[in-house]
Amino acid sequence: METLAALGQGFAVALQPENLLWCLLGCFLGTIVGVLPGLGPAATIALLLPLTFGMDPTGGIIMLAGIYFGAKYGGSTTSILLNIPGEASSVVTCLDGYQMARKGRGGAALGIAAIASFVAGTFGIVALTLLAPPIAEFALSFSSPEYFALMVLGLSLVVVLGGSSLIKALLALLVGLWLTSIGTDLFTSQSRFTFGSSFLLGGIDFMIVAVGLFAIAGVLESIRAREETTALPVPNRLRELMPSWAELKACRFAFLNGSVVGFIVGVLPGAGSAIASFIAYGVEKTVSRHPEKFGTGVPEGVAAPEGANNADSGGAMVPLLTLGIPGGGSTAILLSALIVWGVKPGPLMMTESPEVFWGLIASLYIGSVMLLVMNLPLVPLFAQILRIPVYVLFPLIFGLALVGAFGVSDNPMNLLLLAGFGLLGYVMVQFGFPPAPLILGFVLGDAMERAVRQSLTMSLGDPAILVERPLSAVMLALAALVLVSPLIGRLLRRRRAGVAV
Amino acid sequence: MARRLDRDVLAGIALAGLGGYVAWRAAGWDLLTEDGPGPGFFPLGYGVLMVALSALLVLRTLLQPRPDAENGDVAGHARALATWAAFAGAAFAMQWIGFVAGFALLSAVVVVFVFGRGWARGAAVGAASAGVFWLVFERLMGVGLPAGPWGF
Repeated sequence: METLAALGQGFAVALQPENLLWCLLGCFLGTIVGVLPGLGPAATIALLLPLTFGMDPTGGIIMLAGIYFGAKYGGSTTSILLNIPGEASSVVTCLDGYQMARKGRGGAALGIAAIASFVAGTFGIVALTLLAPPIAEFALSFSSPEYFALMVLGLSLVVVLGGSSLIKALLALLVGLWLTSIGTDLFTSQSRFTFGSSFLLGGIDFMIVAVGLFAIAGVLESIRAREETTALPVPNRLRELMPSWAELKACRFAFLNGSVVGFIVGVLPGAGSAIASFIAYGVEKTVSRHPEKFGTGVPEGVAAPEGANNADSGGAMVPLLTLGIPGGGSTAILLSALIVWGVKPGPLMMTESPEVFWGLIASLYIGSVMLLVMNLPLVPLFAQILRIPVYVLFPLIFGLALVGAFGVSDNPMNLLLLAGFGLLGYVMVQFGFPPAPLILGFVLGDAMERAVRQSLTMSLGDPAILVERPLSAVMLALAALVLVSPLIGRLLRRRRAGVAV
Repeated sequence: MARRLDRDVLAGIALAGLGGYVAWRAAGWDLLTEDGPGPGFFPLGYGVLMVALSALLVLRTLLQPRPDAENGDVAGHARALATWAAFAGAAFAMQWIGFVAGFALLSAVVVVFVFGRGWARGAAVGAASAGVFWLVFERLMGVGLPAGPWGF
């Protein structure tokens, strides 16, 4: 009841004309940039973030949430019409979505993707609404050792679930921790790793790192791969975009499957929407009466992964808003944006900034409806973006990145740093290092260092404090288990192979 | 794949060097003080861990059987790196020539040299995109973009 009353207040905030406008604009811009091949939600949020800098925190956060959800919607258009996944989570959508488009059912595939995204996205937001208050209340009992252990557990999940090589993911994370140490130590005012530069005393802005790693590197990779954008045609009439009754009926279980799988996987740090969409597709294929048809253009093959991709967003908001722990690149950027506006996500956010917290959740409901209403009739318009030649699109993305860097400060050093992080992101991709752990290490590094230093100050330097407190000990033990799990899995597989021989 | 293996060795050596530098610098700062851990405590920890993991990466790569070599995408990398060089050059030059001229040049260079379109198209895309950005961000949104000697 308390939650409903608070949500009601949130709707009062989100339904203010100005906030409605920001939500609509965020959804629209997020979808437009999300449609562009090679740019996922993290790059989209990072690129569009400067647009919100002049706004009040509530409006800015509402717009950013709209951008986040809009970018997820946009990704399906590229997969279905181009057979190019805009991001990892849209890879599975290509399998059946593109086949449907080739059979002349591209409009229906886009419609199913929009409906699945709406159903599962709304499920994720409802679950977030119900789960956030009790989790935040539980987290109020956390002190520095528990926070440190929680961050270690979260980052362990990120490095294990987020990449193919555990060592490389860990190394990327450590580079992120180093980058966040650059500047002045907040406890002692000691300058660290500034190479004698006064510019670096204030540290490196997260936006420069995020835009460089995701947007600039994404464009460079697209240029290397010479991705062609020849989109299949989309019908212009709304009736042709609507899936048939038989197609919707076939997707009944897929909507539910995508919702549940997407939300649960979304709550886990590091798992991300890519894993959610793969699992949902796998479950759908397993329970289907005609699994052999998957990959040939069945509507369930679009509904399940697209639903999971969007329900994941609600799940990812749970640890972000209640614990202040982002689970992936996109939520790490959202966390940094909230901090810039003076809002500290975590268990106290609900009591310290209730209008922002509940206004954000209410705007997610509104944004979900807006995206459905907007996406069905406007899909032909969004699809037109794919017809813009890449030699025009890519310079425009560079321009947005440069304007974003100027939004941070007018120091030209920021532009060189932006170029440097773009190159770093490109090299990381070529060398097989995942960029998400780096940005998470960068965003969480300060909080992690503060937590460990406060813990050791509390215990007069005795590190046993981290394992003496039950909750902290359990979380650290779980983190250790998560980190050694790939090794255990490999050993078990070897033993099984040995037995088989 | 051999190329990938070599890359892992290179990356491991570079990251071990970075980790060593981080640990060396951190060791020079206070590690533990009367008030608790000092500024060197945390960086020393992850610096040492970075060296250890980098060594593990190099060792694992060298000890693994080396599969057949794959062809590298030299032309693709050259295209991407040329684009990056144009981006970095334009970003560097903007402090003198301003955003509009720098962005127009960057767009034109990408269109002409990276995508192999003609100069006319490059000039058109460069002028149009720089004009749109100036109008939207400088005039409508009031973002302070650097100006060149000609005032914009």
